[in-house]
Amino acid sequence: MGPASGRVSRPRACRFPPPLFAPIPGAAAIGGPTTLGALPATETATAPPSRGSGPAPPAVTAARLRRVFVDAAAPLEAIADVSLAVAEREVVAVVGPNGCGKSTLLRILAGLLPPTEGSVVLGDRPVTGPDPRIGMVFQEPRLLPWLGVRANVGLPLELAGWSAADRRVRVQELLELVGLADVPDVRPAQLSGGMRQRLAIARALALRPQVLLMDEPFSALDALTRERFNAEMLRLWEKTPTTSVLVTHAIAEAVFLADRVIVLSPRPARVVADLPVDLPRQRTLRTPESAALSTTAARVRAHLRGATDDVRDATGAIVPGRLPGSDAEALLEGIEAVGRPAWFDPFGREHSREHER
Amino acid sequence: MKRLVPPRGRLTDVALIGAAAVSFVLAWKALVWVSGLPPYILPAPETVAARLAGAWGDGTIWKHAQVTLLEIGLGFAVGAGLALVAGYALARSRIVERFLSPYLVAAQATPVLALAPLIALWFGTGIVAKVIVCALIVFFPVAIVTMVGIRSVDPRLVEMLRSLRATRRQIVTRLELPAALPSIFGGLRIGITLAVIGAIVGEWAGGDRGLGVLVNIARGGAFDTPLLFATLLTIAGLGLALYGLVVVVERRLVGAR
Repeated sequence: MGPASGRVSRPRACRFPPPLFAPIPGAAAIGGPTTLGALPATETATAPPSRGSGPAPPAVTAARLRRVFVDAAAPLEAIADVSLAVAEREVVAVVGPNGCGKSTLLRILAGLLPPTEGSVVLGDRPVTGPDPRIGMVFQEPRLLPWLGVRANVGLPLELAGWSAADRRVRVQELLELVGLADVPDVRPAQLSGGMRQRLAIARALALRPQVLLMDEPFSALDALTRERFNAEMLRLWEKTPTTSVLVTHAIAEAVFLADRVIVLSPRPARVVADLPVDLPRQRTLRTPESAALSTTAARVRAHLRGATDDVRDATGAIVPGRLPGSDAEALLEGIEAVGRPAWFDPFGREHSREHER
Repeated sequence: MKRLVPPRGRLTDVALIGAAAVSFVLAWKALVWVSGLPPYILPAPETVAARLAGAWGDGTIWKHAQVTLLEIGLGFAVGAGLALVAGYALARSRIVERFLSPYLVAAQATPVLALAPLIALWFGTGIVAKVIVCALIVFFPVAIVTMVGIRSVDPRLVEMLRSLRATRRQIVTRLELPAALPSIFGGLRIGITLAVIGAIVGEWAGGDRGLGVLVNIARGGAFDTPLLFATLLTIAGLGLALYGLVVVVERRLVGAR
């Protein structure tokens, strides 16, 4: 991974000294968007984790990932070129349009899918297949319907050959962590959707992974449960700090939960923007920072809108997709100053901005 | 288990089964009485009952039944066991499916009654031929339902287990087998009744012991129609008991979910 490591290590040097105040990396992200697609790692490095106590080596490094599915009738390029580096204990959210390859990216990071090109390195060892250092939470809880609560949470331990006594202790810990310790040992079918997803999270944390990968973990939950889950995830990360990559299509969720938001282009995926969320981890739904959150959300949204897919014009010629440039910036004019604290109502904002145009 | 009628109490269940048995015997008795058929064509229920008790008492039936039971047990075990392996391979390997399924279907379409004499010719009149006939007839339904059951396992659950670094074997034992178990048991229920048929057919094709042989003895040399009826009742009872056994095992393994 010669050229890729160069990409990552060069900007890492820029972390000395770390930025004194937050807006600079944000401004850089908006100011130089034309280089974002080509040099995503630059963005990565200018956005250190907000709670970082000095530069930590990246816990997860994905270098120039590309993935083409050839089993379909026509080869399908899901991921064109994605590089990213996630620092230890950092929470990174990946957002992108529907079907842009977010889940594919996560599967590659998890070692469930080999990349066509590129590599994933965890710490100092590459990921070559499903890895004990990685915990995965899927969109659906994916529990075994014939097993009870405990057996489902203890499944990874059982597969890894833990003794029954050790399993019992660890399962109890995990259930307490996700607030399910007092639930009787019933089958998943008798649990609510939220409880099932908690079980799935507990299961993913069972083997104390260094990295937690989450694939739209809350998308099947109703809006209220989802908001509560977001707040709870922050609490969970405080208790069990793991490096996390969260794929989501909810911008508000991404901004609320993550230290950094990576925006992907429509398929085939490239990194369009890499935006830091300059807030301490202690966030609640009512904090005054919500204005800052909404600004970041607007920024993410602008990048999402700016990116377009390759399209064919009337003559059949391919009009190449365009990465967001000045467009995204234009959209952002005025928003920084206003900062309406309505980050959890993204659609309202979007409508109002459409009227302004 | 799905019911066509709304569930009733256990007592009602027993009463209904009893009522069905009583009305069957009464109808039989009525038929004998009305038709006036001689006992060597249609013996009365009490005649058959007496013969049944007598033949069990002096060991005539048991001598043959134990052989048949053994054939069924071995044939079912071999047939169902091979079918589980084959069904899994059919579900997970396209090559195996293409390679095997024509022969599977052809073998099933050929009546086992026609195959039994050939098998007796090759493997003699001992227990081996009967076990083979039994296994052959059990194989198809169990293989098919295993294939369907394994194929219907949610691939997302397979991926979940893969993410937990489950071995191929762990995926089979922790996920695929338990998930396919309800449909596999559907096939085993069919298979066990077919195994009874297979054993009897095998015995007809050649042999000196077994309930199928006893049927021939009662009908032919002995011309003992009540014994023929008693043997038929024994075979039917054996089938019911074995089916019930499969259902009990199924309830223990699947029903507890």
